[in-house]
This record gives sequence, structure tokens and C-alpha cells, in this order.
Amino acid sequence: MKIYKIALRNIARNKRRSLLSGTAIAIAGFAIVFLFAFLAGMTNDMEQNLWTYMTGAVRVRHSDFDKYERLNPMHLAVPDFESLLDIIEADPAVTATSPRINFPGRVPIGGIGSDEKVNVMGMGVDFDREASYQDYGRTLVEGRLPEAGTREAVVGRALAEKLGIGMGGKFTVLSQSGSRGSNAFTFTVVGMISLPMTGLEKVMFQVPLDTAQRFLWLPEQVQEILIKVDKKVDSPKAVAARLGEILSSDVPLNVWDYKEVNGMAAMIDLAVKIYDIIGIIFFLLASTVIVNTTIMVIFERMKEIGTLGAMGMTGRQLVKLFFLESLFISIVGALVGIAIGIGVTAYFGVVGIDAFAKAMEGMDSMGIGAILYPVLNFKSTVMVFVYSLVVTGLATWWPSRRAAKITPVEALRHV
Amino acid sequence: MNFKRFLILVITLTAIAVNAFSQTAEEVIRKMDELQTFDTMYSEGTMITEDRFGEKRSTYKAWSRGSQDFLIEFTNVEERGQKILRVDDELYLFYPDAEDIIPMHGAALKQSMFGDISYEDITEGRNTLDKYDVEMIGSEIVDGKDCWVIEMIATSRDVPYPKQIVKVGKEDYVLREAEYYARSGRLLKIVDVIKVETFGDGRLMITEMVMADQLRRGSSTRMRIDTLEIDPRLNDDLFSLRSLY
Repeated sequence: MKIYKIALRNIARNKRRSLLSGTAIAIAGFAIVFLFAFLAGMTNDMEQNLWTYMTGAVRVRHSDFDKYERLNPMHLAVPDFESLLDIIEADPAVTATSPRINFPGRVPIGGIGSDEKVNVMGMGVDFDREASYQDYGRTLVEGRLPEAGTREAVVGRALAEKLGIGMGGKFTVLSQSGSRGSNAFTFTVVGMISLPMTGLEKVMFQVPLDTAQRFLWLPEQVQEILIKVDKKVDSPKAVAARLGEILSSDVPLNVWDYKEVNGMAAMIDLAVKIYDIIGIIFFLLASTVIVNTTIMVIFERMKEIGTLGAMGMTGRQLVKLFFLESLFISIVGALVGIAIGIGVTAYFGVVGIDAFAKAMEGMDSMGIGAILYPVLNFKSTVMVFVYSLVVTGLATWWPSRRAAKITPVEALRHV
Repeated sequence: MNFKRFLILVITLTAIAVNAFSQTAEEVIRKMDELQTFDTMYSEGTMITEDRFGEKRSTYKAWSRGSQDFLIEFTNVEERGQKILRVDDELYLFYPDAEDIIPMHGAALKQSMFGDISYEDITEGRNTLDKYDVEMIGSEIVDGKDCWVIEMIATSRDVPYPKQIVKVGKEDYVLREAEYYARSGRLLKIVDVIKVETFGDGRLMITEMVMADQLRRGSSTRMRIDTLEIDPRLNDDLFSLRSLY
């Protein structure tokens, strides 16, 4: 009889034992699929949020603005940005661009006698162009986008609550201007946006770019151009390097990829590696269950091992027998675990996990959203299956060899 | 003169001198305030900030009544129509594109109004002796002028600077230099008077000064009065919120 047939028969003969081992592997497989999908979702989320609201995949700015950013030097803007956009958009890796002006401001509330002011972050964008950059289909939860040339604004829903205004309501923003003075403008709310980052939603409002230029005394200028790229075509770093060579302006420019802009973004790569190590440790812990089960099986089956040895089965064949038994259990266990993991992850991938919403509030600077959507990928499915087999295979190898070294005389002592 | 009479004279003169010296600090400050306070005044001027980013220049028109009420309207292109009103110890900002008047209170007053000048720098008014204990600490020559050096320690928290050292001309009672300190003793701002002119009834008026915020490295703001009219007739409602619109 072939050894694999004996292995299959042994698995079927002791169903409870096989089920226990298989379940341990299935649970480990499920947990790892979900963990990797959760971490992939988090890094994906970080990247998307950073690209959309903070850094772009690549960002173009007046180089002195970066240098003196803490002083909010609004006057250090990028002139003649339209011609820069023509060059940027000709790059094959560029998928979307967003010329914009970010301006911190303060909104007085409570009337003339009150000294209460709410800190806000305004963003002047070209809404026609921005529709392909920001996902307004998802974020615009009420009303419409502002029209160019008007004093209309879309406001973060949480900010609107703080300001105590609704649709059609008005608010006045006091901000530093590009003339190095100050200015204040009154805007009317025509839309509400719900942003993935709670902290950002509490401060952000968006207005037409031309209105922001007028308000901030930055005619025909923007503070920055954010660029999204298709990573399959080229990396943000390569695109930044390429654009950095060909873009020229009357002012010195910094063309930086998002990892250069945001130190936290550079941590993503490190985080992914750490997550991988955590995943492997998790799997190694799960594999101790398998090792334990296999050892117990071998001790339980000493009589059988002795008999098989006495009947002429070699040590190598015994190792193969036990190894195959464990491997078959691992394959089934891993497949079941991964299938459940895929199902659960797919569900949460749609509805999202908001259990950490409160904890994530302070993570805005890292771009982590309040609601996380786990993402299945090659690593969280196929690789987890391969890991399962390798780890359980290795975990079985040692006790199987132990079985092979048992002599028939020694085994028969257990009879 | 016998010794006894001589001793009495010395003691009397010393007492008079000590008394006069201690009164002088208050007198000097009171006179300095009086000289710079007018029933009404109209001026046009220029403010120039120089810092690491270059020069920023703004022009303005200003009206004042007594030591407390004033209205400033910016006239340069970028800030044209923006107004700052101080009335009843309150400060209000008006911007032509804003429907609301913005009141400035508390910590907001520490923000820069123009370069090195914060809003609280223009809220202080005069009546210095109501808010500070003053003490004469010496004399010093400032730009060739013999000056009293007076230390002023705030008696209330409603002042922008807990401690000031002012140098006031002995001949004309005009401020020549001032240093503003934080409660910790850290030097925050230095004011240098550049130009003093005689107006109308012979009164002296500071027409150019430079303020340097010591926390803004390499930055200074020059204020210059280009046109001055003393005691003009002003509308009664000029210093009211209504006048801002």
C-alpha cells in the first residue's frame, strides 16, 4: 500500500484528533488572513488619504514654503501653475492633479461679544479638476460642490456642527494672506463632506480656487500641486525625480514624493515589514499547537509505530507517513481557515471596521482613517496558504523524525 | 554757617532730593502721556516691515480721540478698506469681504497686526500710571539726548507687557527708547524712536519709530507718520461699530 494512502486512512481513522489539528491550523490561517488584510487595508488607507488630502504621491511647492512652513508663509506660492500642469499631466504615470491652496484660519463664533474662535483649515481647489482627484461621490454627503467665482463652500460635517451652521449657513474666516497681511471672507455652505479622517473633518472646508486666490491675494498662484500616480507605471519617487528635472518656474520648486514630504509615510514600508514579522510570529505560535498535537499522536501510537517497524517499515517511510498525515491535515485546515478569512474580510471590506474610530482620531497626521476597510491581496491569501504549509510542515518534521528513531523493541515496551 | 545749621540744610536738601527723585518717575511718565495725548487727531502714515522675506509696506489713515479710542483704515491696495476700531476698551476688525465684524479679545490680541506689531501693542492707550508702578532707575544718553531711565512694573494683568523700561528725554519728556519684557524677564520687544517733530502749538510728536520683536529673528517694523492734523473736528459716530460698514 502506498504511504499516502496509509496517511489518509490514519487521518480518517481518528477523526477527533485530525479535527483538532485541522481546526488549530484553520484558526491560525483565518487569523493571519484577517490580520494581513486588516494591515493591508490600513496601509492602503494611509496611502490614499495622504495622497488625496495631504501630500499627493508627488507634491510641487515653492521650496522656501517647505523651509518656512511653520511660519505659514502664504506669499511663497507657485506662479504660472497652468503651464506646470501641462508638463505634469503629460507624464505617463500621472493619473490626476490637484492645484490647491491650503490656508489655516479662525472662525469667530458666538457674536460680537464673544471671543470664541474655531480653528479651521481651508482648501482652495478647482472643483472641476478636483472631482477626478478627490472621491466626492463618497465624501459629499449633502448638497453640491461650490461653483467657481462664488463665495460658496463645502464644509466637513463635523466642522459644521462645531460652527453650529447647516446648509445655507454662513461663516467668516480670518486668515493670513499672500500679501503678508490678513483678510477675512464670509462663505455660504452649499455642501457637506464626510472625510475618512475624523480630525480633518473637524477643521476642513473647501472653496473654489479662484475665490481662495482673491481672498488670499494670490492671483494666478497656487500653494502646491498634488499629483497622483499609477504605481504600476512608475513609482512616486521616480515620477518626482523625473518631474523635478523638467519643471521650471520663476521660483525655486521642491518636487517631492510623499515619503519625502511626510516622515510618517516613509514609515509605511517599515510598518509593512514589522506587520509581516508579527504575522510570522503569530503563525509560529499557532504551529506550537500542531507540534504538540503531532507529538501526542506519536506517543499515543507507539504500539502502532513498533508494529510497523517490526513489519519492516523503514525509518524514512515512518517519517514520510507522519509528515504526510500532518501535511494533509494542514492543507485542509489552511484552506478552510483561509476561506473563512476571505469571507469575513470581504464582508468587513465593504462595511468597514469602525471599532477603532475613537482611537484613530489622533492618527490624522499619519493619514489613517477612522473607519478601516480590510483589503485582500496576494499576501493575505496565497502567501498565507504557502506559509501555513511550510510552517506546519516544519513543525511536523521534528516529531516525525523522533518517531522514526523509535526501535520496534522500544515501541513494543509500550504494549 | 555753624555746623548745626549746615546739618539741617543737608538733611533738608537730601529729603527734598529723595522726594523729588521719587516723584520724578511718576511726573515724567504723566508728562510723557500728556504730551502724546490729543483731544482728537488725524494722521496718515506708513508701516514697513523688514524680515527674512523682504519688505512689506502698508499705508493707513488713522483717527483718534483722547487716549483710548481710535480707528485705523488701511489704504494700500492689498488691504484697502480693512479697518481696526478701538472703542470702550474693545478691539474690532472690519474686512470689506466679511459680513461679520471680528472682535479681538484675550490671546488673539497677541497675534501680529502688522509685522512686529501685535494687536495688543495698539490697545494699551496711555494712562500708564493707572496700570504700572514706576521707578526711576537712572539716567542714560540715548542718541545724544540725556534721558531718564524708568522701570515700569505692571500692577494688573490687563497689560501686554508685565515689565517695561522706558527712556524719556529730560528736556522734552518724549519717549526715546523702550524695552518690553515678559513676566519671566525675557526681553520681548525694543522700540526705538527715530524722529520727533514739532506740531501746532509747539508740542512734540513722535513721527517715526521702529519696533523689533526679539522673538522674530531679523525682523523689525517701522511706523512713520506722513501727515498729521491735531484737533480736527470728527463725527461723533466715527468711533462706533456702525462706522465700520
